[in-house]
Amino acid sequence: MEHFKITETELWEYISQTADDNTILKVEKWIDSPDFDKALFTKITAIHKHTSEKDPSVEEAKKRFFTTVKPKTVVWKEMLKYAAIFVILISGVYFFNTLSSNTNQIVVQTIFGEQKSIELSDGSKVWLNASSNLSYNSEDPRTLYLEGEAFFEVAKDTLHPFTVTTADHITVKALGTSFNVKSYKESAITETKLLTGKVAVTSETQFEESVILIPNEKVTFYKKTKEVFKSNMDPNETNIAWKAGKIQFKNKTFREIAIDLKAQFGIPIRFKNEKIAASKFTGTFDNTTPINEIFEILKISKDFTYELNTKKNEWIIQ
Amino acid sequence: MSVFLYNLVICSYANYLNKKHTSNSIKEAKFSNLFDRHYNRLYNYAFKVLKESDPSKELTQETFIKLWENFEHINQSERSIESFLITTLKNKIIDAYRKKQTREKHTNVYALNTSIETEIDKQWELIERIEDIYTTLEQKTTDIFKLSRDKGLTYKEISQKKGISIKTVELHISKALAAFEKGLKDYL
Repeated sequence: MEHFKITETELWEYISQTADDNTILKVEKWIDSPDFDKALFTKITAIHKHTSEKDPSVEEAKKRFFTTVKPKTVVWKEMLKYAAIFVILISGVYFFNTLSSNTNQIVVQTIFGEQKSIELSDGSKVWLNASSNLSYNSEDPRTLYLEGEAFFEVAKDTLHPFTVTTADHITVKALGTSFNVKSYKESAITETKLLTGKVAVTSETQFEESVILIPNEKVTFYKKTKEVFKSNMDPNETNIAWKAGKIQFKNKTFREIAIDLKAQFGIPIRFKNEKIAASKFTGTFDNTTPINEIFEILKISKDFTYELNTKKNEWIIQ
Repeated sequence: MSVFLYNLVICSYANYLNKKHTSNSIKEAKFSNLFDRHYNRLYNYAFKVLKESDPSKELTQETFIKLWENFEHINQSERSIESFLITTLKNKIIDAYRKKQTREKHTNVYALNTSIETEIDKQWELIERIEDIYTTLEQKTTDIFKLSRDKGLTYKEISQKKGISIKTVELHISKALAAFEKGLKDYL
C-alpha cells in the first residue's frame, strides 16, 4: 500500500491556494488516503482563517475622517479669525503689522551638498546639514521642527526650554547645551548625540519614558520597531564630522550610508542586491570627494559594481 | 483711546485664536498618528465579526470621530486612548450585530441565543494574540509569512523576491506555522 507523507508547509501551500499542480495532486491524494490527518488539516485551516487580514486604505479613511471632523470644530473659529483681521485692517495698519509679525513662520532649508549656520534670536546657534529643513515661529525661536540633520549650541535660558521635534515625533529638550540631531525621512533611525550639558529625549507617541543623556552619550530610535537605545559615543564621534566638512561613518550599513550620500550629492542610490545593502563600512571622507571616488574606496573591502542610470538619475549598486 | 483699547482686545483675541489653531494642528497630527497605528487592527476587528467591508469602515470612522469629540476629556496616555478606541468600537459592533440579527431573525433563530459579547471579546483576544505571536517571530519570518498569507505569493515567487532559496522560504513558513500552532492552541 502506498504511504503519503505531507509536510505542514505543503499543506499550508494547498490551503492558502499558492500550491502548484504537483503539490495539489499530492495533498488531494493524501486527503483520500488512510494517512490523512484530519486534526492537522483543521489546525492549518484555522491558522489560515485567523491570520486573515484586510488591508484597507488608511490614507483614504484619514482623509474622510478629517473632512468630517474639521468643519465642526475649526471653521467657525477660522471665520471669526478672518472677521477679526478684517476689523484690524480697518482700524489701523500698525496693529495688523504687529499681528502678522507675531505669527511669522520661519523656514530654513538646505539642498543637497549645502550647509547653513543660523543664529536664532535667543542667541542659540544652529548648523544645518545637507538636504535638511528647520522651521520655527519667530515669536518662539526655542521650539524648533527638524527634518534632516542639525547641530545645536543652545543659549542658556532656564525659564524657556529649548526643544527640537522631528517628523517621527521625537522631541529633544535642552537647557544650555550642545547636541546633534539626525532624522532623515528615508532613514530607519533618529539619532541624538550630546556633546555638552544635558538633554531629555522624549516622544508623545513613540515611547513612554524619556531618556536623559549626559555628555558623550547618544540615543538611537528605531522607527520601525519603536525601540530606543542609549549608548556611549566612540571617541572619534565626539567631533560632529559633518560640521568639519567630513562624511564619516563607523560600522554603518551601506543602506544607511546611502542616505548620507544622497543628502550630500543629491542622487538617490538603489540597491539591487540585499547583501551589499546590508554590509557594513567604516570610513571618513571630505565632503568634496566625488561620489565615484567614494564608491571606488568602499569597493576595496567589499566587491560591488556601481552605475549611474542617467534616465532615472539614480545610482544602481549590485 | 477707545480705538486703541478696542484694537488691543481684537489683537489678543486673534492671538488666542491663533494659539487655538496650533493646538488643533497638533491634535490633527496626533490623530494622523493614531490612524496609522490603530486603524488597520480596529477595522480588522470589526470585519472579523461583521464580515462586511462597508459597515466595518463606517464603524471604525465613527469610533475615531467619537475619540476626536471626547479627546480633551480623557486621559491622554497611550493605553487609555487605545482602550477608549477598543471599547467604543466593541459597543458599536455589538449594536450593529444586534441590528443585523433582528433583520435576519426569521432566517436564523438560533443565532439569537449565542452570546455576542463573549464572541466579540474572544475575537479581540485573538487579534491581540496574533499580534503578539508576530512580535516573537524574526522580522524576516513575519515578512515571508505575510507574503504567503496576505499577498498570496507562491514559495517560488517569495524566494525570487527575497533572493533566498525555496528551502529557506519553507523553513520560515514552518517556523511561523509552529509558532501559530503553539500560540493559538486554545483557538484551533
